[in-house]
Amino acid sequence: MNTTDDAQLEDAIRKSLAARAAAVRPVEHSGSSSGWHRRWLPALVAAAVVIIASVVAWPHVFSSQQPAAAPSVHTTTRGPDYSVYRGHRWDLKLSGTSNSGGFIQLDKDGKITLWNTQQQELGTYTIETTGQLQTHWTGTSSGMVNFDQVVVDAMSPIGSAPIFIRSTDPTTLVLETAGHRLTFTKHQS
Amino acid sequence: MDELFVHERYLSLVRLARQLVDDLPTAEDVVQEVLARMLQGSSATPVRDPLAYARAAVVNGCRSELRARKGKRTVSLGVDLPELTEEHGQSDGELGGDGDELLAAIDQLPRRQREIVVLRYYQDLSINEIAEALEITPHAVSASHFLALKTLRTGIHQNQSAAGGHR
Repeated sequence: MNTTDDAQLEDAIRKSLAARAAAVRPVEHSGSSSGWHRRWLPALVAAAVVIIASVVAWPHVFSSQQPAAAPSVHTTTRGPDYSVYRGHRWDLKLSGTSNSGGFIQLDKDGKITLWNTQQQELGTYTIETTGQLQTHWTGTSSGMVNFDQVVVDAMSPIGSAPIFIRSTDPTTLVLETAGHRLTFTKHQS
Repeated sequence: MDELFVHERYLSLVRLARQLVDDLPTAEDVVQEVLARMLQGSSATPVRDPLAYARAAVVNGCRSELRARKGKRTVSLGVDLPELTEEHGQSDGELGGDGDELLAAIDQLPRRQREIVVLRYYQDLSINEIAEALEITPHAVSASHFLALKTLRTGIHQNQSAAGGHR
């Protein structure tokens, strides 16, 4: 045995253990012993909405609608504590700047995916609903898509892309990345 | 210790446990049990270094699990935890055959040697830190560490010789 052999063996051990550890990672959308998965999954399965909002060119009006200065901005891969947003009904507004392209996708499981113009996935979030994700949506010529009556129980990110979360007040929650913006506004009923 | 600690450390502790037991569900069980105990006891007896304490408790929990092979337990932490999965395909792809053989060899080491290899090369703990975690002397750690490397090295050489002989 020599020092080189030892170093190579130790390096191989490190790599092997690191690879096995890396293979253990968080997932979403399947059964779990953790309670919150059981809570939202039936509601998501029941929700029969598949909406893909593919935006080729967002109007300038939205690029001028910058959110107010946020008291707290997080860049995170795990997301902040969403507990203050739970149990309320929210309207979702998706928007993007005209020069960014890309799009935001909201699928029937409540998964939100943000893509850039090169169709690279920027990040994925899951909306957990306590209610039903309503099928109604409106797409307008101004480039705004509303998803009404979504009840946000909690949200959790998937993947590692950093997403800016702005929380201007308890009635608004904004996810924003690379020119895309997803705004939750407390539903006024 | 609080829920924030649980959220921040859960994945890393499960990854540590997975190095010491045979499957992910068992690793999750061990970690959840440790964290549940820590949450319950944190108000009565504050822990000086929660991470070191949790790490040692996870190693002990894995050891108990391997000894007893208990049935499935259900521990409620009262905390939302991420669901975890183990992606074997990716691991295989990154490691290749040699990496898999090395992992198998590590898993077949005597229990203490396996713990020491994991704490040394996955957790990057020093000999003294390992001794503290396992509640044994640094000398015992060094001796087991030496034997573990010797066993692994011998196994690799044997495999390489066998592979060469088949060519």
